[in-house]
Amino acid sequence: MLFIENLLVTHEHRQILSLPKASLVSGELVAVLGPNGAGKSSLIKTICGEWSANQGQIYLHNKSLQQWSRQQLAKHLGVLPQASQLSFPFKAQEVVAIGATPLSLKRRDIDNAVQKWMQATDTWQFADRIYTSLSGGERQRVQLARVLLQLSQAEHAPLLLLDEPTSAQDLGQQHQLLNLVKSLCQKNGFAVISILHDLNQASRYADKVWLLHQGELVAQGSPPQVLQPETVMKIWGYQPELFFNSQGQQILV
Amino acid sequence: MSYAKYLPASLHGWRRSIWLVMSLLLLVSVLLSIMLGPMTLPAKQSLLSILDRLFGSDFSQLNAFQTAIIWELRWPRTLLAIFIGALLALCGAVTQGLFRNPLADPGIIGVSSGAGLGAAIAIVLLPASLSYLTTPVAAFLGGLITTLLVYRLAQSQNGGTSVLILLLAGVAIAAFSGAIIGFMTYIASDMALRELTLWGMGSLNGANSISIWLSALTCLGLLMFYQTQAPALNAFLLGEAEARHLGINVEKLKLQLIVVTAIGIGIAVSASGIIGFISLVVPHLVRMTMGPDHRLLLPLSALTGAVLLLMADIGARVILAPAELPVGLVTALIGAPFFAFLLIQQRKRLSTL
Repeated sequence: MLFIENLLVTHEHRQILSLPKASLVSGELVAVLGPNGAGKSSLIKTICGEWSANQGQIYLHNKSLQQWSRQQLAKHLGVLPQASQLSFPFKAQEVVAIGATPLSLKRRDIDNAVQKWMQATDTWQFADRIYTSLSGGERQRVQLARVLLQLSQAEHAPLLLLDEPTSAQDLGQQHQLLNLVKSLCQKNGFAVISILHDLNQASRYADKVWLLHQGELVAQGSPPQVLQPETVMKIWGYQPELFFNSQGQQILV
Repeated sequence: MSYAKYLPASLHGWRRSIWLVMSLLLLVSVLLSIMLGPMTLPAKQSLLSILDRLFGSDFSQLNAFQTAIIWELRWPRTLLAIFIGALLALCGAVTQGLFRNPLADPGIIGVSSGAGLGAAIAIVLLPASLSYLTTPVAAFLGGLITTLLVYRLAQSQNGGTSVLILLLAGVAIAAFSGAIIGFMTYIASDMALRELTLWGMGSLNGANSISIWLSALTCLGLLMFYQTQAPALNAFLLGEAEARHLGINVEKLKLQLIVVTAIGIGIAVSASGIIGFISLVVPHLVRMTMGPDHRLLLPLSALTGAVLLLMADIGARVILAPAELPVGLVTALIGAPFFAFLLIQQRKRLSTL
């Protein structure tokens, strides 16, 4: 459903991102990995259209991103930012309801959808609290509920971009959030591209890994294929030890 | 709970009936505005006079002179206060949303300073006999031109506009027009100087049918236009990138809002001079009691702005009666300490902005 071809992004003659070919099918969760400054956020910003590529094309459901109408694209492409600059005293549930902006929903349907997605993201208990008074992790989950509401009327499988969704969450919430995302992939056919930092989380939840280094896509494939100790040493400069858990999944420590 | 922490407990019951309360306040203010001034008229007779006017009846026992005071002087002034107050508050609310800063003021984007510059040039350089016409037109044009210039300055190469640069450009333009206004003041004749100073303080004295109709129509037009953009403005508060992801044409929205707001403020400034703090304090007050949702914030700000400016104008007429204060002084006298109080109360929250 997502197809990227010859993508090249430069800024002041410096190459930021180069992606000869990458694709994603409906139901797949891709973890974007790489050290700081590898171009992970640039990739998210380019796919969602915030940055324009100097070269190359991005196709969503066989249609170039430029050919999508704003409203249709908004229904099919959702972005969870790392942090939001909202500084007005909205209630948490009002923030989520803003996700209905591109949708055609009645007031009552919006209320129901808000409740549904806030429950799914474990934020319903502070629906009436002021957004700016919430903790960083709580805010991020409220934003996730907003993005999921935004994608709830998609006619084709939607694409969800997550910029470090687990960075502000505690351990329990990290897994709850990734489980939710995973089940959206499996049950609703979502395709998800998520920047992650924890290699083991990537192994556990992702179907595929895109490994970025200095703006280049240096490896893509299943987590066990890509995440070998010698690759980790080459990219991050840290030599991990490889273990296997009782289900035979690999663990890097 | 919700906005509870910003509100005294006694005000909670008001939230549901806020429209009723504000409408009643407006009606009371209108009646007071008709009654009060250098010559106080009896409340009952004033009310009857309004009914007479509305229904063509003949209840009122006011003499011809008193009726003339009401319909020639106080009624036009009351109407102008209502429309200008609504216009200022409305434009203030939208500007604060546009800058995603609850303390922003239309002055920031250069409209007030530009309008002031236009007016100063008209008052000092153009013939005084035409000033009833040239001053408002020049103020309006000055406001519009400066705003477009500021917006142009803030436009970056990739087609986006940075709110930060917009803000700084506004500051630069304000300093520039401040210098020119200073120069105009320096070379002005004594009469022009007095007019310039009074205009700068703002007054509703100059109410005439042109200014009333113009501000009324602008007010109505802006209310309707802004209301269609209210959901987009809500999304815009999340951030420009987020608004874009929600399918909003952010660049178009920003340009439309800036131009329309410049027109609104330009019309207000040309009709009544520079009246400060209404555009700053009213949306802030409404947001604190009702929350920041623009669908409710915009119309309610308009209503509250109308009430507040009308009351300030009554104050301006009554405090030093029979002399009259410029209403801009009254709004600043009430508005500035109130605003400082808000700042102190919310210092902690605002320091993170």
